[in-house]
Amino acid sequence: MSSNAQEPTPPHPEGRGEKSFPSPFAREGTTNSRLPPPGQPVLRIRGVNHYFGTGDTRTQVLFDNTLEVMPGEMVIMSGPSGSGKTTILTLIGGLRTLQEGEIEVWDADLGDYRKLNGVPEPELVNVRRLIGFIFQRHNLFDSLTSMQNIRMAQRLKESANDPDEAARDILTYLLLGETDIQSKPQKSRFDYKPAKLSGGQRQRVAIARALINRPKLVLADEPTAALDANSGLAVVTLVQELARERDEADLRKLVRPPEEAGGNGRLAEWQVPLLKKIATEHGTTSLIVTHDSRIMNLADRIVHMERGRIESNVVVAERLFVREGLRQSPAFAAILPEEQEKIADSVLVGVHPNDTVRPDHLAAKPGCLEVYEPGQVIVRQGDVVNAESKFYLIRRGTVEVFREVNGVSQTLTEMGPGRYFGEVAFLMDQPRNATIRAITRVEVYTVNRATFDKFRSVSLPFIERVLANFRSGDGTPKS
Amino acid sequence: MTPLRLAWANLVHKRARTFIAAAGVAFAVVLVFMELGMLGGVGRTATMLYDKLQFDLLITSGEYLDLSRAPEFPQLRVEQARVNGVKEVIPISFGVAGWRAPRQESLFGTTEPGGQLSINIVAAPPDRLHRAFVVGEGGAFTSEEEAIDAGRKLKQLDTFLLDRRSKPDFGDLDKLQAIPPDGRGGEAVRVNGQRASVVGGFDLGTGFSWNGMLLTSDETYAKYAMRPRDAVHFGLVQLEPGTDPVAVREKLRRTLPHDVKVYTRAEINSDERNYWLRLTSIGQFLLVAVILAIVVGSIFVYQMMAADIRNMLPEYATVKALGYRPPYLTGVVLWQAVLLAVFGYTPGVVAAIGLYYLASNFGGIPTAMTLETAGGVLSLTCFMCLASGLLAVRKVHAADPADLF
Repeated sequence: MSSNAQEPTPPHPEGRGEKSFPSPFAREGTTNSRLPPPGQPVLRIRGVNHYFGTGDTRTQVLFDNTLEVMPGEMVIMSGPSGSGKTTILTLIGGLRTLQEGEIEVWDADLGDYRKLNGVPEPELVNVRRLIGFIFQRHNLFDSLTSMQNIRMAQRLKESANDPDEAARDILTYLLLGETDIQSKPQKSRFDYKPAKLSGGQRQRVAIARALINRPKLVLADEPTAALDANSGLAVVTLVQELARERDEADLRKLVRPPEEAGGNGRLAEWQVPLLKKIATEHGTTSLIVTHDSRIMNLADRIVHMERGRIESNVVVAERLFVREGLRQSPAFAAILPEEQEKIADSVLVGVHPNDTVRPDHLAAKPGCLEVYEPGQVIVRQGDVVNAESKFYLIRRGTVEVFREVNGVSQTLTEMGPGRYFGEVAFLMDQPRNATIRAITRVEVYTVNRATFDKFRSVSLPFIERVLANFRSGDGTPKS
Repeated sequence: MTPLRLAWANLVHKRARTFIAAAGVAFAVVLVFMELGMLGGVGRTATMLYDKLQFDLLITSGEYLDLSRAPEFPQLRVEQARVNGVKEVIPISFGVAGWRAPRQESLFGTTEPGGQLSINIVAAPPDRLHRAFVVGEGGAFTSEEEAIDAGRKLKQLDTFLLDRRSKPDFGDLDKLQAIPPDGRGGEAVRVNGQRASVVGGFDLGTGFSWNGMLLTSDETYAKYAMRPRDAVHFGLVQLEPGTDPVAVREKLRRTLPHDVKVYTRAEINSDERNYWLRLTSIGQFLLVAVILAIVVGSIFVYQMMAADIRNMLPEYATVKALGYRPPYLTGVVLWQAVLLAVFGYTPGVVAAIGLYYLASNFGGIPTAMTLETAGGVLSLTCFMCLASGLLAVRKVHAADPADLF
């Protein structure tokens, strides 16, 4: 056994182990009875292929795409033109008939998933009613006023509330009512037909139409492209609020003077209570195709497509969690940032760190994540490091660290999410110097020896300095 | 937003387009009305004379085909027809004569008298005129007294009554009555080249069959038409009240020789209409014209609706994307078609009433706007628009909501 205690590493001065990432799920304190069971997605896509044309001109445009989107997530679909983003959106929305694969959309009223495979076109209507569509081209009825366009959507869903009031509220919130952003009176656009509205105003009416029924899934194509900063912020904030409830105080931070708001936009004081009035239900998931950085920065999940394939499916919170965890480890801190990111991205499973992984997640990304039941030993003191040995980053759960000295077992510490272990044995090529055992159900990201060694070689000089620290001290890396 | 309200909003929003579409429908409506009016005129022509005669059964020659081809039969058959249940049988003669055209004054100048016009003559025993012709409102005479008085005048040889609704070419009744038998200032009444006097008028009407009609006594008719007195064209059989016409018809068919036929009023009317509408070229032409008008109207409406739908495809695709079912879209298009039908029908029927007035008063074509015609054309217009709508609605269902993204 090495005299240098390689495990555990000390608590982070900033209380890293206590850090929690905001979950997209609106589980507490919100009206979410219409959401799928905990841990289940609102949208499930498996092995979706799609073809355009027939006979000799039949061309495959989507290739074996698999994706799960959890309730309340804001998902950004990115990728170059022709990569299949729009096609996959139209398949999810039931606007096209699914040819191969499976798509399931949660139907809150049904209390179950609606499957899209094998569904004839007329029955796809049931799926469309679950979804709010925001098109880049507003596609409003030219012959109808703003209110009437919204009533077209409201007519499809019975509501106990006064539909006129609901329509007026959402239009007012989107700055089409009788009060402007400076809280001054203005002529409302309720009874304006699209021809009398500007491009941005039409887009806001279209957004109001898409969101008026509080759909649990919103599919949007560049929803803020035609909007000014204030309108864009209002839209994004509404989508966020429908996804998960935010503190009023948090929202009031967006009520700021113009000079402070800059290009990011601002809310008016009166918009905050109105937003709360509109967004009485939460858990709305949105899939947005956009290049608007204002929205991209707020994404919970970024799905990148290339040539008809989902090339990456990243839960932003999980990526931050893993990157942060690796960066705290002296072994990985020595590696160039872009190399760190590569390692981090290679272990992501596409599940928010606050959520429990399911067996199918583990099967989809073998070797990236391990699950241990309470009492199970993860690392045993004295085990020799070999090609199978791993570095661990705790995702969920708590472990205890103990060491046997002269036959006496000493508990050294307990560790929770965000903490890591196992890197010193790698660096020093020595047996494990402590035992790590799960106290609760534990999920750990793992980086194997081969990956570790590959990147170690890149940053060898720095690692040598780290090792020197280990050898000269008590085994605790010095920062 | 019900389909009706959305359809209404669409039409009201695009006023110019709706106006053009409605004008197209109105044009088709007027076309159909005019062709139907003409066709109705043919039908009315067929029974025009019979409608003014009083009879329960009609005796004609055994070789009778239609009014214009009604051969004579022996007057003896009229006497033989007095079987049980028959109250009276009145002999009627019907023929064509030449009428000396009177002086004509018009905007384009004056035409001197002279020349022959073809005119029809109907003849009846003058003392039974009031029983031979329908009297009262819509009849040949306004009252029985007028008919008796006219009969009294016709007892004098060489006297005629002129149909007041005869075409103006035949002359003004008052002016003709004022002309003495020998003529005056170049003006003279001549029937088949013989001196005659117009002693009054009656009401019958013109049609596709004749432009003018004279009524005279059987004696004058025989003289002017140079026909034997013992031959007639029709026998108007009037029955005792409460007698079954069909039973008497059968009795007469058994009693009378086969050189005559016996018809009920319904049978003769039906045969005449059938002849005019099915067998004459004008009837067939007008039937084809009605069908063509409907086809032309349907094509026009279809084109308008298809163009409208093409323009609105993104909106319809949005409706589908919102989750509306196909019947809703069908409802919108069909309501639009019905509204278009109403928008087009209303001015169309007003225009048709005006044109009917011109046709019957100045064209001599017995057109009339009946409730049946008006209702029939409204139904036809709706059908035409709905059929066009149903054809056009396929485009709506082809609207692909996936194209919206």
